[in-house]
Amino acid sequence: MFKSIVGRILSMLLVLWVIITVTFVLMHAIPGGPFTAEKALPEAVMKNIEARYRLNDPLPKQYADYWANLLRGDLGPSFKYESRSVNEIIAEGFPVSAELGLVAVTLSVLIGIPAGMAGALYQNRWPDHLVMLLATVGISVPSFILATLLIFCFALWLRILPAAMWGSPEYVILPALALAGMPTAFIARLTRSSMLEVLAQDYIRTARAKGIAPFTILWRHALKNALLPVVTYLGPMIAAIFTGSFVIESIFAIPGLGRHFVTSIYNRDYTVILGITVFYSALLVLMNFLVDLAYLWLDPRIKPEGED
Amino acid sequence: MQPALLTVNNLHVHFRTYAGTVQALRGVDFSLAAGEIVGIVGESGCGKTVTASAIMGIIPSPPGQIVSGEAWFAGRDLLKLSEKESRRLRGNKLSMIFQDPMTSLNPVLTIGTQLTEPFIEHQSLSQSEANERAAELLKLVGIADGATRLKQYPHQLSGGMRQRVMIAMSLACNPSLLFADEPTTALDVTVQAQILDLLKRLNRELNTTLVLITHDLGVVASLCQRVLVMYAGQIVESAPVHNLFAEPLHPYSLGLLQSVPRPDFQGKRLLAIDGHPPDLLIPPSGCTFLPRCRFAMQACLEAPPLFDLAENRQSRCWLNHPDSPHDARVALAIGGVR
Amino acid sequence: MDFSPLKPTAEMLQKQTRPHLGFRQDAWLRLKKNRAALAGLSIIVFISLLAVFGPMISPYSYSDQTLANANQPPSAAHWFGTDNLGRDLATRVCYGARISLAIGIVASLINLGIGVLYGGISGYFGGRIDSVMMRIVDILYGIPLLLYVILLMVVLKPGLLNVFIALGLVYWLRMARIVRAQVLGLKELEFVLAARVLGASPRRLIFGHLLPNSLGPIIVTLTLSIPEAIFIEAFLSFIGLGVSAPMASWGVLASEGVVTLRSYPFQLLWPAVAISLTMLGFNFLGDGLRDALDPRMRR
Repeated sequence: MFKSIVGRILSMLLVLWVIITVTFVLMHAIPGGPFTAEKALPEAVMKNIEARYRLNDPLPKQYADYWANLLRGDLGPSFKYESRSVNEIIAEGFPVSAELGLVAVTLSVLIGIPAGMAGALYQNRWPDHLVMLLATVGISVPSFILATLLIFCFALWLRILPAAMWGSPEYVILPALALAGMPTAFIARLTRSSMLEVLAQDYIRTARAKGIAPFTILWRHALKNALLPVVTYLGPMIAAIFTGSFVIESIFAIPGLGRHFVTSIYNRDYTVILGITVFYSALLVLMNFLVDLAYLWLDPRIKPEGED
Repeated sequence: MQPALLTVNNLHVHFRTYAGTVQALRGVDFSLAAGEIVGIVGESGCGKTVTASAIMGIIPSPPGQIVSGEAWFAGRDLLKLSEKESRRLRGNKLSMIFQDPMTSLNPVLTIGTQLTEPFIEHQSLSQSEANERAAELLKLVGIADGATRLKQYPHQLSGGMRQRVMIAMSLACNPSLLFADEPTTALDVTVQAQILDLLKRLNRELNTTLVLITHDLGVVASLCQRVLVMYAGQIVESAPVHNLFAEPLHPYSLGLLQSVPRPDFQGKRLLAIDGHPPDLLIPPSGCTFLPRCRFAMQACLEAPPLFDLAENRQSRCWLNHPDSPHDARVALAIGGVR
Repeated sequence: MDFSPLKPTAEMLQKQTRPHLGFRQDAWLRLKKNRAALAGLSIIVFISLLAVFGPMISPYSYSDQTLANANQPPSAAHWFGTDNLGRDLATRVCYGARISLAIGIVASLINLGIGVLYGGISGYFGGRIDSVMMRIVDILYGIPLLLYVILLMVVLKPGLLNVFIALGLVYWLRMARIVRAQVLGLKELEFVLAARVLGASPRRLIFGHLLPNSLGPIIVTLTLSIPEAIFIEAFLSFIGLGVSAPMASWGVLASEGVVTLRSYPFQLLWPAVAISLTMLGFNFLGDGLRDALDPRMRR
């Protein structure tokens, strides 16, 4: 157990190194360097940036400095708004995005898994057809279209939910639904196919031959096995939800990290783009690591011998 | 002969697939006496496992469907029971073990969890009582350190050990009828012998009727008292073991016997049965074995009935018809030496 | 009863076995029985026809601005209405189909090329090469890829060609894994051993024997990666990083439509329906193909 955790930590660090290096390379691949803007910069900001990133140093030195700054947790100043640092923007926007993301992840899991199970249990009967139809439509409708559809229905037409902004809980509902749509559909499809596979396994036949009640078979014998693939999908799903929130936050004018990211793309605010990319990547790599640990804990087969 | 423990009449099972309806069982009749060991032999796909599953009530439906038939057990027709009633008998009075102990145990549950389930389900024991009984069961099937094993997962056990666990699990509620579906096929030869000995001993000690499904005639010879030979969803011959080996009354049984190396057939070459079993999507109208049969006659274009011959001997072949010019025994004996 | 001998005839043997279907025929039979897959195929054909012929038969061009006609609701002259610059939306949606389908198909083909090359080499050579190459894929898998497509687009500047490059560079991982798994599995099969014994070269083995036999899962992956590419392009266009004006992909049209959602909801409706229908079509078809081509599902 200990050994495999250490292995996963090492591989996580490797991923982080790749991410940061790729980001660094991309930053320097921007023609004329990252800080040569189309528009003139305030002198002070330019000086500040040049000082901070030592743009005239040789590349290896810059790479080392970039690392040094990162390790101190310093993502640099905003390129557009002179008084603000990337750290401040993240500190301000992330809690909002995290709340939205968390609600969406919870929704996807709570709706997707039971829906997928219903599909598998009623295979080729109407509940299955319904789940599969909805799920296939679900993975076919992009989040930004679902978002506008929801706004149109609930905010403009029925006028029961706010169309935009952030504040009390009812502001979370529409963006969270929009964000959860595609992952919910994915989870439902994944759960269904994995459940079908598990239900066809010999050990389910054994349980039936033992006369175990259908509910117990499902709950004890099938569910854990069927959910293992779903757990592996949680990492990518969290990534999808967080990146998906870029657009959703813009549409709903939610002051989260995603909206800052999109704004910084419009503004070509490179330090913010890079800072948020590194932050998100690191966060998601960490999520993947946690999901890996959960998997390790759930599946007794991959525990090495003799650990008990 | 003592009253039958199980009597199966005219069992038909169909499977609906996208390609059409597969007639997996096309009228199966047999009965079992309490305490005997009966082998069911035949090629894969001939309906051995389906027969057992139908009686157990675990045919997956859909696509499977019991079209007609009866299976009388303890005064009740098993095929007419509700799912709930059937479930109460499964793992209790009726039980079954499967071919592959690697895949037949749930990989994410401990042996203990899986072994105590029948007690909890059928005898409403508490978990701690069930644990005790489970450890006793393991001892019964020759696993000494029961308490440790109960805490382990299937992947931590060897194949033979897992099959012992499967057997223990099936014996939990002291069943009167146990189906063993190819219980040794997936195991090493040395382990096979141990498992067969175990089954034999349990049959003797617990008086459990054992139905051994296998394609291995050697296993049948060493363990069973009676054999049912199945072909294309029907029983084609039924006989006491020594009679079948000495004097098969169906050309298919003969073919099976000749395709197995036997010390007393030394010097004679092994004969494979040519061709393939029929496709049960479109079963042929006459005798299903006709295209592969060395003794084919005009009469075989019509499906033969199951002829009752001597006591405990039945054969589904026109050679056994009283008017048949060729006596089945002579014909098959000649066929046997040619 | 006639007990005279009977010679089993060839005809009798024939009757006993159903006509043997080849893998492709069998798959086609299954696909034809799958109504959702056929519906998906019809949608794709329909959208493709619109993409090819729509702009040709339309009296308008996708970029003609007639400000006097701005924001017209759907009418006989403009079936889908006009946008805020007076451009005919029906024409723009058809034209957008060209861009979006082209992106879906080209990006998937680039993925296919890289994936087949990478996965094929990894699976064929196996051993250390394989473990190093797959470790690299594993590492890249841990990275939130969409972020890097965005970053690439920021660096490369928006434009059709750059969308191809960014998508192609990033999304080949899954294809590489699928190809490798297929090659690994097939490599051990007897006919490959036979070919190797006969002295076939590695190149001939990979392209002549291994790939043709692993086409099923590759076709499925390819089909399902097309809607993904279309979705990502729409996403990029939506945040201003897709194709550049006056070109119009569905993502561009949708993001323009969102701005005027309150006053002219139809301007968003058409591109939204087009994107969703196309993705639905490819997803249905991909699911159907998977069911039809998956050997485990045979019989």
